[in-house]
Amino acid sequence: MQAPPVNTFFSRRRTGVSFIALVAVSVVMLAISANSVAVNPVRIGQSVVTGVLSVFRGIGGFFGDTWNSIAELRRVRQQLEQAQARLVALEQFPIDIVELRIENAQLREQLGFADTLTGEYLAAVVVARDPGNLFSTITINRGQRHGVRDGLAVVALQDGIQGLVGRVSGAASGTSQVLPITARASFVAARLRDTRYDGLVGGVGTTADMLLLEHVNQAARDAISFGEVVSTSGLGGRYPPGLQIGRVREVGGEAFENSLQILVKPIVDFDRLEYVFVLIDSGGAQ
Amino acid sequence: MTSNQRATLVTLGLMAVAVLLNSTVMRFVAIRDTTPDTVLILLLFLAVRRGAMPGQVTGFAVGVAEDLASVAPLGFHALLRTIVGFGAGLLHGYLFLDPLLMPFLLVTGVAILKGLMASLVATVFGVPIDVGILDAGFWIEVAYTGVLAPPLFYLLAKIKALRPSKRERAR
Repeated sequence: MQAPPVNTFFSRRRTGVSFIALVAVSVVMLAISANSVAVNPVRIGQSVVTGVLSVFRGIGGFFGDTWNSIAELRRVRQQLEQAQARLVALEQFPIDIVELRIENAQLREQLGFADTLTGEYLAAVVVARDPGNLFSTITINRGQRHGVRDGLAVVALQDGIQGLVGRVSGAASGTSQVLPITARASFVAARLRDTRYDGLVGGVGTTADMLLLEHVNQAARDAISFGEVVSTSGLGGRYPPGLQIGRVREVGGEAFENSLQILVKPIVDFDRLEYVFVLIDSGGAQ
Repeated sequence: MTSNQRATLVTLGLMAVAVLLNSTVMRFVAIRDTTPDTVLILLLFLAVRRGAMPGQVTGFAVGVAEDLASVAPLGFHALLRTIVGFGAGLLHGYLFLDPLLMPFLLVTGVAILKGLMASLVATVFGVPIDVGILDAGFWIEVAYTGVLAPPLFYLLAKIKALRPSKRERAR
C-alpha cells in the first residue's frame, strides 16, 4: 500500500491545516506579548484552578451580597431619612457651592488650564477608545516623536479640578495608548490626603465607574470620611506624588480582615474625556 | 479573483470600518459604557455564508488589527476571532438563515461562547480583562449584539459582493 503524496494530504486538509497554523501563530504571539508563562504547565494549572475558584467565589459572593442586602436595606432607609433631614438644613446654607465651582472653573480657563500643572507636560487630544469591551484603551494624538514614552503619567483637568487619567502603556511614533486607572490591569500607589493612610488603587473595569482602594489598615476605618481625597503617594516611582485620583465613596471590608476595601469615585469623568496632559517631567513632588 | 476572495476582501473592509467606528463614535450609542460587537456579526455572516477558510483568515486579520488598536497583548483577539471564524464556518451549508430568529440565536450563542473563551484565554495567559462573564457588561454586550444581528444580516445580504454567485447557488 502506498502513502498518499504530501501535497495531496495538505491540499485536502487545507482548511484544517490553515486553522491550526493561525491558532499556533496567535498563541505564540500572545505568549510573547503577554509576557506569559504559558509554557509552564504548573503555572497553567494554577491559573485554571484560580480562575475556577474566582468563579465560585463570585457566585458565592452574589448570594452572600443578596442576603446581606436585606439588612443593608434597613440601614440605608435610616440613613436616607437622616440625609433628607440634613439636605433640608443644607438648602438653607447661604453660599452656593455649585456657583462657586463654575466660577472657579471659568477663571481657571481664562488663566489657562496648564497653569495648574507643574513641571514639563504635553497637551494631547483623545482620538480613539478601545474597539471592544474587554480592555480599556485611550488613544491620544501624541507619540514618541513628541517626547512621549512608556510609563508616563497622564492627567486631565475637568471642571477646574486636576485628576489622574492613567499612564502611557504604548507609545508609537505619532500616537500613544493610555491605560486608564479604571482598567483592571491598572494599579496606583495611593494615599488618603487627610488621614495619610497608604493603599493601592486598582481598577474594576470601565463599566463599574468606581475604583477600589485596598491594603488600607483597618485602624483607618473610623478616621476616613466620605469624600476624602485619594491621591498618588509616589511609592514605587510609577506615578509622581500628589496627583488626585478620586474621592472616597464607601468604606467596606469585614472587621476580621487585615485591610479595608474602599470604593473611590474617580475625579475624572472618563465618558467626557477629550483633552489630557502627559507629564513628561513632574517637576518633583507636588 | 474568486467569489470567496472578493467576499473576504469586502468583509475585511467592512470590519475595518466597524473597528474604527467602535473606537470613535460607537460610545455615543453605548449602553452603560458597553458597545455591541459589530465585528462579530460581520465575521459570523461571512463564515456561515462562505465557510471555514474565509472565516478563519478574516477572523485572524481583524483580530490582529484589534490587538494593535488596543492595550490587549498581540494575539489575544486574533486567537478568539480565528476560532470563531473557523467554528462558524463549519456551519456553512447546514444553517438556514431566516431574517430574524436564526441570526439572533447564532450571534447571541457565539457571543456567549466568545466571552467564555476570552475568560479562559485571559486566565491561562494571565491577561487582566475588564469584563468577565460574571459582569453585567458582558451580558449587556451579548444582548446588544444579538439584537443588532438581524438588521445587520439583512443589510449585509443586500451587498452584491457578499451574495453567492449563480453557480454557487446552483450547487
